[in-house]
Amino acid sequence: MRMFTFLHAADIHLDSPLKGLEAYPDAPVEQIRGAARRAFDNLIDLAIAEEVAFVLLAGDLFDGDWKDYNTGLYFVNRLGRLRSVGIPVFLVSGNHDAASQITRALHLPDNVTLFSHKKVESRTLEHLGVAVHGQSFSSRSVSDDLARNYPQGDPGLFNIGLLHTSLNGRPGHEPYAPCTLDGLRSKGYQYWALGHIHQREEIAREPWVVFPGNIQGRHVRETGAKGCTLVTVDGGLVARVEARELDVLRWADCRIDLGRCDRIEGLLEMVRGVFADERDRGAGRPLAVRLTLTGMTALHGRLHENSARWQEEFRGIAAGQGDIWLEKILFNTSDVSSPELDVADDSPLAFLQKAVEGLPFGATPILEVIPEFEQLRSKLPPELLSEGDPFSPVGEAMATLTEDIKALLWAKLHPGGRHED
Amino acid sequence: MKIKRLELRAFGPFSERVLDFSSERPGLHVVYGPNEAGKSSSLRALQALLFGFEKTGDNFLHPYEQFLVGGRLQAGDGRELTFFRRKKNKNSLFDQQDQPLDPAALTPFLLGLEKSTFATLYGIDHEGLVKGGQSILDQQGEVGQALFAAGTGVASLKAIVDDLELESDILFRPRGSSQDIALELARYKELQTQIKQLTLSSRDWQEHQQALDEAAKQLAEAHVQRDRLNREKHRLERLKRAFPYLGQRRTLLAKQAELGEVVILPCDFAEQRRELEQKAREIRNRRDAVVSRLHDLEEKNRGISVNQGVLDHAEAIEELHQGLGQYRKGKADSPEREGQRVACRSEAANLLRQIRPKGGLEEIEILRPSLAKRKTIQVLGARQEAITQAVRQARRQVLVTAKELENTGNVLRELTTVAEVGRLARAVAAGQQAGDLDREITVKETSLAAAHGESLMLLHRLGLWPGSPEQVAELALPLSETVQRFAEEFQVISEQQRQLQAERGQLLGELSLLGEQLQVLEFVAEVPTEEELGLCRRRRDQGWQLLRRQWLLEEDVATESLVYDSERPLPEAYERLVGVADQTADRLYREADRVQKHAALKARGAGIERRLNELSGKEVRVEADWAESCRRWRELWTPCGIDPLPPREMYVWLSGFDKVRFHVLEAAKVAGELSEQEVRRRGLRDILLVELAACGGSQNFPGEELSLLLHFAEALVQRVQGEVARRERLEDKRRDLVKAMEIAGRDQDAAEEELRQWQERWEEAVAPLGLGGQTLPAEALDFLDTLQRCFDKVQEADDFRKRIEGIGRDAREFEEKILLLAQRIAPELAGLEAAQVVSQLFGRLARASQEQALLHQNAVEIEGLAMSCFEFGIELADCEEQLAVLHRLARCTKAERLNEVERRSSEYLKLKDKLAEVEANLVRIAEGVALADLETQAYGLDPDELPFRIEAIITELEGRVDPEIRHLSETIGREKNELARMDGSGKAAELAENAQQILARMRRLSERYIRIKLATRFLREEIERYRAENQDPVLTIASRYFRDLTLGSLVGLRTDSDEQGLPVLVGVRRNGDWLQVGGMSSGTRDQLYLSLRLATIEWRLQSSEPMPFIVDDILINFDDQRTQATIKALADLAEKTQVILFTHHGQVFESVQALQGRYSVFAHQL
Repeated sequence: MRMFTFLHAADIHLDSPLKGLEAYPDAPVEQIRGAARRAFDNLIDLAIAEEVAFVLLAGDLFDGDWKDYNTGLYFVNRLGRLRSVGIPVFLVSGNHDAASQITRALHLPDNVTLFSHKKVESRTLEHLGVAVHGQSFSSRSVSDDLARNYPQGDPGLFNIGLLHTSLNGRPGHEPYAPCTLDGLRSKGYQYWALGHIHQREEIAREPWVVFPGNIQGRHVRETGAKGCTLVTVDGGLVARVEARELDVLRWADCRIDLGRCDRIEGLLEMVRGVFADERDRGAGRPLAVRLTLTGMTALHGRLHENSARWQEEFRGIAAGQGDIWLEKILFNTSDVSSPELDVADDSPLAFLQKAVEGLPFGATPILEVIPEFEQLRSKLPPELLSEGDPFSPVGEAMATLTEDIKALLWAKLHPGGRHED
Repeated sequence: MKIKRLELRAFGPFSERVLDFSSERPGLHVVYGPNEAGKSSSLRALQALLFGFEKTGDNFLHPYEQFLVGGRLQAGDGRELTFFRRKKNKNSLFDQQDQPLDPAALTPFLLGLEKSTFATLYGIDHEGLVKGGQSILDQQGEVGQALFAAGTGVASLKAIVDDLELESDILFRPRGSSQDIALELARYKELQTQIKQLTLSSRDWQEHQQALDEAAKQLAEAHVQRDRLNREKHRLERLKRAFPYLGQRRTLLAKQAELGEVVILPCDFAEQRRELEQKAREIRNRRDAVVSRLHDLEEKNRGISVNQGVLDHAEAIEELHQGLGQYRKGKADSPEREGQRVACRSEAANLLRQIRPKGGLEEIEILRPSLAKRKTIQVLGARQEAITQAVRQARRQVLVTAKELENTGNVLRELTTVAEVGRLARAVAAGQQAGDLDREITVKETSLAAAHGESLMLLHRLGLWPGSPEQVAELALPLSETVQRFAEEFQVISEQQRQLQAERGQLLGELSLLGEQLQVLEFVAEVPTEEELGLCRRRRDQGWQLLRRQWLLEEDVATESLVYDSERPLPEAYERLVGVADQTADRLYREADRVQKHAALKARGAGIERRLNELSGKEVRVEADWAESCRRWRELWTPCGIDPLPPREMYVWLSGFDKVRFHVLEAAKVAGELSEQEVRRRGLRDILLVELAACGGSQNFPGEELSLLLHFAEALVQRVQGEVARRERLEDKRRDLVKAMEIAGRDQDAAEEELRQWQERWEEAVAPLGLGGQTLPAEALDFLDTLQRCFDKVQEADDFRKRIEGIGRDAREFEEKILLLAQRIAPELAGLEAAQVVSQLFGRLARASQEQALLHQNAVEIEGLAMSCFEFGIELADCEEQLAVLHRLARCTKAERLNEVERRSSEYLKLKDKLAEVEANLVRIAEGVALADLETQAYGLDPDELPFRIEAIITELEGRVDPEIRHLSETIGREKNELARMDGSGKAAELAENAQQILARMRRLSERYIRIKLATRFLREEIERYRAENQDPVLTIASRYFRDLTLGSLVGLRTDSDEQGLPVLVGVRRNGDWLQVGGMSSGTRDQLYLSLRLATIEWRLQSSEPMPFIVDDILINFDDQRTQATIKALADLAEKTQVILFTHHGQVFESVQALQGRYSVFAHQL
């Protein structure tokens, strides 16, 4: 058997918009436009440059609720580029594709094989000695173990299992088509090309079981490098497995512990340093950064009193370092002085502080406390509410809400601010 | 806490200045410094001591890095702390020994208060005082806010509350459309619409693709048709061009026929004939020259003779000449060889004597047979050592094996017997095969509990449905599409309701406007109507009838006229009615406009009433629709036992429920697996316990866990198996040793037998040499070697003898041969010595050889010439043969006729060339069509008709086919354009990205709104709570301060209610009248605020530790009396808590000094 390479990618989510980025004057709006498409273009370019033998796409090509057929046309056009250089493509559809209207009407070029959703199919590439086995999702949620029906690997071939699955479950991902590593191993394949989990993960090496992650992060929970996996096969064995970056915009969740910092200059320097580090890590790509300030610091009060001013300050730093989009700034710091002693116990301010800290109001939802909330909530688009209802904060969101209200009241009740800046 | 001492070591204008605030009672300490004396600096130094330095302009004398302030504080429990502070970013605190001090050391004194909190709670300055007074006015004396402001030191509370409300209003108002969030919502909706417009549906694309495919198919068909027509047109055009050539061809063919039968000669026929005749002539001349030379040579040869006898024996003569040297050498060697032979014989005799002292060389042959035994003796001698060694080895082996066998037997006897553990081992293997069941079960239990908890939590958070997670799977919920449909339905109905309501509102508005207009019209004067006029006239006519009856018919109409008009006599009544009727008629005429307007307004009013009735009908219907929808909506959810929220919310709810369902299914699956594993574990455990008992390894194993038991059993099995294996190994070894013992015995016997046999054979072998059996092998071999050398020397002497005899024989044979040859060919040499004869003969042979060579050379030339002669003959015959062929070709025998034949042939060939030319043209025109086909096509075709037929085809092409192709091409182009427009553009996706950005902003604004609203609410509640709890005691104390501060012009404070029922503050005059805050002067309001603040501080002393009250020049605008009163008030407070007053007014300083003695007041001058 001769040596060859192939690309394994998944969770393309073409034309899926980036979430949570509010535009502001210095934001690099143009630099991140059409990020999902450009990342996919990078995938095609890489396949051509590396002269791979074939490309595997393990599901979720489109977003389930996106209806624009232009996305499908674009996809077919790019697969056509692979066709013109003789690179075959193997697809399975995932949960999103099964819900997509685009998938149903797509006319795929003849270099593309879309595996059936009714049964497992196998395709053999005689000249390479490769067999690809795959099955698509038939509906949005598949709870059966699809891998169970995959055929035993042909001992004379290099067997690849193409599968959209949550494996034995991953936090933050719906448990679709669950299966076990032992189940996959029992098939005698040399490589399992999985999809669905957006974080890259090499589950096993004997045989190789790989989630390549998605090719472009879409929100702040999808941080770090995103791309595909380039696999080199020599003599019927996996010789090398490399992660290749494709993303055009990188998400970063930067946490700065201000525990040792009590000067504004130090803080600004730390922020500048963290941004520079992230830019280096992303090799100059545009960045979308969530900045979380934590730790017990003397700066706590100053940060909270005038968070809008700090937001502008940090945005300025971001703009100064080039294409960095500051997604959100969370002030999760605490004060160095023990907060319970902050105010004399019987002063109205202490009572006010205690009242705010008593959030939520017992069993009464916030929504019912103030009548206007219900009126606002009924007008907001459901998309906004489904991404974490701001009227029902839980956990950290509730803590942030409490802290924000305290800070807001403090800033108002201490005219001119407590600190000279 | 009390400040007992403030040291201004290096700060502002001060160097080593000390302010001593220590006093028995807390006391009022007034720090007086005129302008530029550093009053403000000293205040800042106090703040710096407690909370750290800030960048101020106090570095004009001491640079920042030298700033140093110090002080001593005393806590409520009497503890004291003396410390210093420098201007440093870190570790700015120092103790008296100049050692760094932990900032936490200040906490018990400052109670953890920050600078700003301390300043608002326990500090007041002139600006704060004025703001506080103003704020009381702004909030119109609202008690809660006033108390809260005084309690916190936050002077401008009203502005804060207003500010919060303003910001929330900018963000969102329930019915507003220009607020930030509403604007974003509108933009979001607009983007959604745009996205919808830009979104290409899959169906559109497929339709255009189909249209394109169809047009392409038709186009292909049209192209086929056009090709067919073009081909026909081309064929006809070709025929048209070919017609002239076809005619020419026919003429040429006719001429060819006329020539009749023609002998066709090659073009070069005549030339060939002439060349052949010339060649024949030349050959004849050369043949004659060769014949003449041949005759000359034959003549020369006849003159030469050769000595044939010598030549015939040439080989023998040469051989003898060569042997002459050998012959001469043999004669010289013979005597030397004889000497060598004698030497060899005597050496042999010496050797024999060494081994057999008696006897001579003649007896040597007796010993020759014994040499044959040499090999045997050698072999036997070599084997002797090996055989002796083998015997020794075998004996030792027997001894060793016997000892080892005895040892093994002893060990085996000592081993004990063991139990049978086969079944236990199988049970253990089954347990191991099942994997780590304990761990898996624990993991599964944990994840099951987690999944169950998660479902419960999610379900609880979702609310609405009271069921348990177990019921989730079976719960049949409406489809989300259904819910969406309901949402739209509700939206439509509510839109209708809104429209109806709006219309009703508009109509009611119009109606009331109409009413007003009517009222206006009627208010000016009663508007006359047609009906009134009619009524008037009827009444008048009635009167006239009565009058006429009375007057003309003289009837008594008294009763009737009384009815007609009880007040006036009939004529008067009639006359009045005539007047009224006329007047009414006149007014109708005069006020026609007003009348008409009145009527129009009435009519419009009636119209609006009708419309309102209609609306009511519609409203009822819409209401019914709404009720119906609500009913159906609730009905939809009834099977699930859910009282639904509005559809939009249920839509979100459904997606939440989907998540729950997913978790529940997951949990059920895990539970199933768990129970299966538990059953399996129990089974394995039971088997193990039974088998262990059988093996005697029974022990108590509490709990359900498998692993402990499994490990015990495993260890037991391993131990037993180890012992069994050892016994087997020992027994194997004993068996091997017994076998080895047998073999060793056999080996010993065999070795000894072999030794005996060897001895026999050795004796036998050395006997012929005359040696005994005890002779060593080496001795026997030496004997044999000497004997052999003796034989070798005898043999050498014999060889020399044979060679001497050979030399003599060869010389005799050579001389005989010479004699014989000389007698045969040269008898004359008979008397000469053999060597001379040979030299003579050799000379004669050389001469005869030379003559023979010359003769041979001539013969060769003669043969060559004869050959040439023969070849010329053949060539000549060939020429003549070729000429004959030419004649046959021309079919004529006579040379004279040959010219005629050549002419006819030439003419025929010219015709043929022309024909070829014409046909070449035709072939070119035919463009590949065979000539015969062309002829066939042209046959029967009228050349005049061709142009018309061609024209018809052109018309068909240009008139019909080409336009159709153009049309189809355009269609294809258009469809392709359409499809190209569907270019996979990412515009919709870009807009979706924009929409996400707006969503992000909307989220931020909403979150901000939530925070502001909640903050406002908390603030309001706290204000109210504080008021409820503190109003009475604080106001009581404040009343006292207020009375003192206002010098009794106001005797106290009370609460009143404003129009909204909110409690407000009022001052009480001496005469008991109440004075609203709006009616107070600004100075009085400042005093009101100060009273409240002092009262708050005094009231707080009841429950918490006192803190120094720092007052910064609040008396700027007070007159002398009020200043005095204020200082007294402060001094009152200072009885309970320390008060430090900073001032640069000398008058204040003097007032304080005046109070000394009566109050606990202290003056400090800077």
